[in-house]
Amino acid sequence: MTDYWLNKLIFDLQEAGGKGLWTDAAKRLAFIDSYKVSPAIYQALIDDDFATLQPLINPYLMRNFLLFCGLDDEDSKAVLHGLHDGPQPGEAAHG
Amino acid sequence: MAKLVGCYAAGHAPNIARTWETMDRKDRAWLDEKFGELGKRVKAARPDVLIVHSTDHWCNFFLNNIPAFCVGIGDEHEGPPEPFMKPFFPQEMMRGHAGLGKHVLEHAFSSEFDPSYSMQLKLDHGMLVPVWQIGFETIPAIVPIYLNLVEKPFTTPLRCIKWGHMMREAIESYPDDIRVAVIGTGGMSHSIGETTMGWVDEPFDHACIELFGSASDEELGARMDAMLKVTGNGGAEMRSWLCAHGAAGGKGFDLIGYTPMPDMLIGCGVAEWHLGA
Repeated sequence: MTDYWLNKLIFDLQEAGGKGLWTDAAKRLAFIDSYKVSPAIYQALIDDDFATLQPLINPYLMRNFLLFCGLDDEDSKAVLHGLHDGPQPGEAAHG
Repeated sequence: MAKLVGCYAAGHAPNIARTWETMDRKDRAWLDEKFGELGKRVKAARPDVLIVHSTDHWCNFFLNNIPAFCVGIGDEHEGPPEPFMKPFFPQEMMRGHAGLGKHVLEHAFSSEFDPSYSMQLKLDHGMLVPVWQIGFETIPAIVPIYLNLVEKPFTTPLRCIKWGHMMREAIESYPDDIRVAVIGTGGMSHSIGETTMGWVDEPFDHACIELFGSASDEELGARMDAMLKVTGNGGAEMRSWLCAHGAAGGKGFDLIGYTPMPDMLIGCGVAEWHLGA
């Protein structure tokens, strides 16, 4: 379920400083404080708790968020694949 | 009267721009060849205006207001906001075509579509990676059409085909003597920011290619609707291709090239539709 304020935070982060802001702990805290996120989301943002955050974030914003966290594409894939709880894709029948 | 002079589609992965100078040589050679061929064809058609269909990547719209379709009706639009696009599009503003944009909007309303509109949009990588790769000496005016293909629910594939039909009628009823090309950007399969990120679904891509060449509108719409439910989220961008397909009118499909491109995170397709007589 997409969480409005969590996604708003990431949406705004795109223009507010992105990785430079987010990887600075003090700036990150100040930024989070300006959004009405729940206590659970607040803590997950501080802890880089992607398992909690991912189901609540639009996937395209999630991709950007992982870049802001300092993860490149390979690291992002590793994090996201680690959250996958079903069979890996590749056998879909589209014929 | 205006004339439709071409219908095209191409991938728009941001990594094409992000990694242009550093990407794998094989990928770079493929892109040079296939986008180069696309560029030859588009430039040979001598369009005065490009009507470019793409999803917005959270550059113009947010969850407080997401249009299914948004028509850009401005005389000008902002260049790309993404830093990685700036080397290729340093200009702050790009030419729009207010006359054709407003005509498309009005024709849409009279054709039972209800798009939103904007007098000034940001043209993100989705709009501009193919425009850059075509290699215009002077970029034609752009009428941007943004679809929501990032946050469900999405408009149906059949609706996109019908939008394409409407678009052709709009172009061909515009009174000025201009040449117009329709471009659908994005796709083919990809998976972004979800737990299958990086998945390139080649069976999906090949099935799409087959359908574009052979299926009726109804079959194409129904099959795409089913297929999009079981592929990565980026497959949704094939709706932009469906808009171009609809504008072309089902007279034939010419795949310029397709290859899975894992480093770009997409199945990369480049294509043109035949327009018939």
